[in-house]
Amino acid sequence: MNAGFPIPLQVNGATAPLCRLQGVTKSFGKLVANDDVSFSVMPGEVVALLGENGAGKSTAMNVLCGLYLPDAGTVEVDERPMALGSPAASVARGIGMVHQQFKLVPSLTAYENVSLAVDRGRVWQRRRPSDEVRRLMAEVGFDLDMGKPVWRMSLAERQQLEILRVLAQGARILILDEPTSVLSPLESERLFMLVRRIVARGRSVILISHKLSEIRQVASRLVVMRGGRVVFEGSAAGRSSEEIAGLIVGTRSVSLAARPASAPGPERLVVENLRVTGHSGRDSVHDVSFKVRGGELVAVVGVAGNGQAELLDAIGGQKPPSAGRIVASGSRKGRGFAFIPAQHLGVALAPGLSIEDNALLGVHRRKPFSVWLRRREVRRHCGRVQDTFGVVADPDSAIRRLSGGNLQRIVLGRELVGDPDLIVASYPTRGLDIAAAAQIRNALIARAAAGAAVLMASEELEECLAIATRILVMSGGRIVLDRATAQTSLNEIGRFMTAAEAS
Amino acid sequence: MSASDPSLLLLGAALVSATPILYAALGELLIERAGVLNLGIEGTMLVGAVAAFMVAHGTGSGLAGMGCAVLAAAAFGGLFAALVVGLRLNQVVTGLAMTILGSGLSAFLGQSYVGLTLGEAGAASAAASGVYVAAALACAVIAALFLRHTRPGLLLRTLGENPAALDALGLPVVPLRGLYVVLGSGLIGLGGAFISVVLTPSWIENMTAGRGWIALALVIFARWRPLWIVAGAILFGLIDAYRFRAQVGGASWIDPHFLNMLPYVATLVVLGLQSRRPAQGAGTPTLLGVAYDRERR
Amino acid sequence: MRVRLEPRLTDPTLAAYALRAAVGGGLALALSAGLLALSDHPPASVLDALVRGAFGSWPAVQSTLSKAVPIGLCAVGIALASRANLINIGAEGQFFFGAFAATGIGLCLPEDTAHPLAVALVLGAGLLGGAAWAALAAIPRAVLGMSEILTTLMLNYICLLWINYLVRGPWADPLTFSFPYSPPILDAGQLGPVFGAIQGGFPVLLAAVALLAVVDSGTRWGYELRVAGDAPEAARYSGINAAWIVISGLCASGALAGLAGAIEISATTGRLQTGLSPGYGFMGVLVAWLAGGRPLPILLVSILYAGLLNGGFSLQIAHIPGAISTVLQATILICILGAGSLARYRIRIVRSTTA
Repeated sequence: MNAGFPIPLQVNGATAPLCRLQGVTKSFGKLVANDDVSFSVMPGEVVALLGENGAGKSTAMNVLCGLYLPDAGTVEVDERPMALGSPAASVARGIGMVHQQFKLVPSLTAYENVSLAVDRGRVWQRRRPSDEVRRLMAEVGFDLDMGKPVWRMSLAERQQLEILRVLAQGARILILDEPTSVLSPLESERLFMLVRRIVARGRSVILISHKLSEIRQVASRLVVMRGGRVVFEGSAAGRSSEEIAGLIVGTRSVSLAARPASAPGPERLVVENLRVTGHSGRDSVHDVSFKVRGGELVAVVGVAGNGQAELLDAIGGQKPPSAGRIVASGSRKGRGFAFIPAQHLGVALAPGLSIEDNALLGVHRRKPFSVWLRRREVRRHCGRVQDTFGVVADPDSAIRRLSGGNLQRIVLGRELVGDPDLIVASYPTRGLDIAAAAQIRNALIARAAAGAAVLMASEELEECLAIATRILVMSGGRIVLDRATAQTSLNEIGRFMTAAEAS
Repeated sequence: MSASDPSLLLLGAALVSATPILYAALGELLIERAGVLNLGIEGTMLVGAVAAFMVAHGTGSGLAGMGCAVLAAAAFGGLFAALVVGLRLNQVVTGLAMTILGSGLSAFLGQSYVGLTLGEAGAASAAASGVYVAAALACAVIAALFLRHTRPGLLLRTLGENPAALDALGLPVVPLRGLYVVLGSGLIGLGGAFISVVLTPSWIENMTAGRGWIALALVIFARWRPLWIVAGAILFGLIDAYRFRAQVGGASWIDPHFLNMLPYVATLVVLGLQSRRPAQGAGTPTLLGVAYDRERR
Repeated sequence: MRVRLEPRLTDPTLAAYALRAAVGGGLALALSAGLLALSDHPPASVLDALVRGAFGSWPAVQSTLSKAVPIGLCAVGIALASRANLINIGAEGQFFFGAFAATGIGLCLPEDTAHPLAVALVLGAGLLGGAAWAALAAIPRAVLGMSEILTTLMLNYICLLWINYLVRGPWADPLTFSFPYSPPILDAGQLGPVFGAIQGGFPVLLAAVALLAVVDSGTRWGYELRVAGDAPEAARYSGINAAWIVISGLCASGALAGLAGAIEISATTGRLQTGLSPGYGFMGVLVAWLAGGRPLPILLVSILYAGLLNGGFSLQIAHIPGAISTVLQATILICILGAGSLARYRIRIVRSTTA
């Protein structure tokens, strides 16, 4: 145990990298998730790994952890090549990852969880931490009651415990995957203090995050990925949030249908003083009010994790609001109100059922269906749903065999049947290939042009600027900007996205 | 207090009649803590019972019978483990099939032993019943210490709750689960052997008479904790002894059938109370009955 | 070298299904033959006696079909609940509670009740009784999230003890002396055979199988069961009431088992007794699983299972121990179950590479 101590202190002016990825390529079928990815991590530094969802960050980290075996490329630790595709080898060479879903056992105490990983070969279970673990706790400044069962710990405490466990296993390169997504601002602050102490002893941290202010606060170097490639690697010092946001998003020109241009119709959705409490007990949506009229296509944007997803879930009825009022022009059970959740499989679609069954989901209580589901009507309905966006597949085959694009085509096709007056879509183009994304966008534009009110959340600012008539920017759970697209710019949106954080 | 004190006699009788259930419940506890729901307890007990009787009858040694019962039941458990842990068959359905197999197999093997007695070996075993009772209590204490104070015990607790955590650490989930099914089945077999060699001593088809199901109820009643199993088993033993005395003595304030319902009703009540509280920390193997499959999540 | 089980990416086809039955059946036959040879019973003659006892004569077929009724009805109910991912292993208790309710009505009705009405009341009581007993597990599951596997299992034994109490206590028939029987129910409530000799419950079983097929493919309720069983989140998204699905699914499952109990009373024994079921409820679990929950296979498998049961009785008459048939029954079950695993998983032998 306790591999690799002590390490020469080379915080400044270090010569040799602690770890280096060289030409890592990994594809899943046709999708090239990592394309010739190379970057290195020096001892004692915090590297921020940035990129949109699907940019290839997780794939690169899973290669580093040994969970994925890359098609090509090497990983070197201490300038010696590491065996790839073996978690044990990665752990032995000092790489440890804190996943977003913690791998802790809730009924065991904090120490027992650490012990699972550390005390191999013992017979009697220690009741209290070994000296090594206690030394580590004192060194890095962990503040944990090791006798407490994990299920009684807060998320922040669990995260500390997971970090402690990874360090106790001898990790010198600690990967944190969106660590602050479950933390309050105060807890995030404490986490960063912890991170600084961890790297002070020559260990390194790779931080995956979407929150630009955090990155500016703690990272010493940036690695930005886009479309599976590393597009930027360099010092973080002196870079503004707008600059970083630009690096992440890049400049893309996507051919899009023009945004709907029609006189606003009647109010279809009114949200008043809405408040949604997140799972950590703090509000993820704060006192939000806005209206959407017919003919409008309103885009909700923001840095990931600032309440956009929760807001749309609350409007769609997936999450009960803790205060406030939502008035929609139709009901989800009747017709007129379509909701497209962010997750298809498991929420919008039942993965084990057929395409035909899924085409019916939520529609099955409307006309022409009754307590009897007549075979011919179901078949005809399924045909209509498939035809809306041209999904060619056997209606009896299992839905989970479809590609991501086709899954979204089925969901949208089903939700748009009956021409709803109000469409709420949570990240409808996320993870889709270009053709599918364009098809979905155009359908939303067409519905808005025909007089429906459309509210969508999106991560792609370019997309929003091109198709939305109005843009709502969320930050810290509040709407900080509500402006017609024609009267704003990418720069202004970027500034508001990061404004609340910077203050 | 003299040895003939009626309350002491009742307690002694309760302990003896609780012992088979105690062994079986402890065995089932190990298996369930490892995340496997074994509904074949009754069959495993019968296999143990018939093996013990056959060997004790042949060798004239009750102890040899008990030993062979453990081996036979462990082998029977090995088959179950191969099916549900290895081949990942549905645990409920396979467990029911194992009950049928155990009942048929024991009836088939024991057909020529029906009506025989153990003679001296039986008398000796009955005289030594205190030892077997004490051994059962010792097993419970050892199981409690094992779960609480040893590293393998820690792994066992994790096995039923988060096998993926063990897998991520490179620890062998499938072999460990198999091992505990085999070990637990051995203990269950000992419970059956106690019935045929010490309690009666004789062999009759299906002589366990539902004790396996009571053991299953007891494990849930005790919320998967060994010392609570002892308490529960003694409680049920007392009910049993009281019922026996009431039947012999005639009048009883309550019909014995209702007394027999108590273990099941109590188990339902415990299940209900537990469901109102967070399952964590209760020792409940939350993934009970779910085959471990790395590729599925 | 390691052996790995990997999930197959495609659903088992009909051919794979038939293959697994054939492989399992073959393996079971080979194992059984070996076992019989070891115990000095010529396998061929035992098999002959078994098949003859099950299907070899008209009375044998009649008896087999009448045993298929309770097994099949329980299996249909269990399969129905499994649509919503509810595992009902309490069919045995629901069977007996249905029988209890049917007997209760059968003992209360005046002797001059019209025959069709009496039968309808007796069977209806069985349906309600089974549903009520299942509700004892369904409501805690819907409200508190209590595991229906454990509650339905425990409720079995409570019900069995209740029946035992009744037929030895308040409902004991003074005319049958020491036998644990209730008095017979009224004559008008007895369900006679149909088509001359087939047990009156058999058409009910056919109807239940057809009902399952209709629920599956043509009703909103069946659809909602399926969605709730597959993806609870998707059920919530589409406005399906989860508590209603749990309660209605389990209660309907129990109602079918209760109906089976009532048919046993009405068409076979005419009175409540402890030996009413040799474990029909548990056999139902096995049959539903072996048949993959599909309606027509359930019918076929329950007839085969009943044949095995019946053949076992005839073995005893031929001086072959009945235990052999129990062992054969379990061997066949385990072999077919094992073959089922091969239909779902691919076995891969992986040469271990030293990392």
